[in-house]
Amino acid sequence: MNGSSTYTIEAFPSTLQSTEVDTGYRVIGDFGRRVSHLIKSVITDTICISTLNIPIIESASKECIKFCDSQGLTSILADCLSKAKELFSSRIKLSADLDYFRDDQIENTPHVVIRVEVNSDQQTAIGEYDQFVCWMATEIPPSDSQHFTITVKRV
Amino acid sequence: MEPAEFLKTAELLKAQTEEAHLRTSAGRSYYAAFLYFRERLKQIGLEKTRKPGQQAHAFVIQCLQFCEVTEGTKASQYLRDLQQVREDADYHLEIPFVQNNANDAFLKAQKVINDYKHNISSEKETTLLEKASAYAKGKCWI
Repeated sequence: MNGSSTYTIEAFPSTLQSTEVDTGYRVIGDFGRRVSHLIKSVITDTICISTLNIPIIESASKECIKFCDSQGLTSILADCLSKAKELFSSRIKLSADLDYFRDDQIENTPHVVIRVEVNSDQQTAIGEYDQFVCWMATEIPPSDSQHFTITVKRV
Repeated sequence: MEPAEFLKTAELLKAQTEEAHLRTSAGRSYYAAFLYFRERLKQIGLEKTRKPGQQAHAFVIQCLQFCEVTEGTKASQYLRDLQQVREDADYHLEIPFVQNNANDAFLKAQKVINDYKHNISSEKETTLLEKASAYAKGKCWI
């Protein structure tokens, strides 16, 4: 959604050494302490930038977090983000936002779009995507998964 | 005409370099997959009979999502993704759309159709029909 406010997770250097740079994350914004804590627990980690050679951007829009909170989907969002981080080995961007499907306007219910950008070949990206879809199909109840769409873009 | 014919169109378009061709290719890939599953559901006995012109996409995707058969649920996730890619391609012109995006949409459409064909059994499809029909009735779609 264009122009939507964003709940940003900002990368910052935590350790500087001659051979590698570790990066941590901090959550910026004052939206929902409980939600903030939960999401933060999912996204906080360290990565080695020298391995990936690219900064990772992660964000979830306020609208998305508010929607998930109102629908009782916050823990599902956290699970999905966590699984995406686990499965997409060469991700350079991970974001969650709200969108609508325009083809079925009468329904007009929003859904969460988890967008993953990866720097990998097609076979790897589709393979990891397929693992994510299998996980969703078997682990997330359809009443919850119907609100989530994951889409992967190779750069 | 078989829905998979649209994959041939998608393949021709994704080989082009102009962005409009690539965006249109993603749309054809989505419709190849969406129409395959709409027709498959129709063949096994599930068709949207109430207001068929409305919520046609949601009907197919949600019936598969709630069918309690992994092959169907997985297909619904692929369709949701392809629908999102198609809408990004057709409506979100500010989001860059490149060859990789068209190639991946094509491969996903091909894969979701082939995986379903190879992995579904008649017993599973019977369950799929039963559960999906119950869901569709609850939504007043049939």
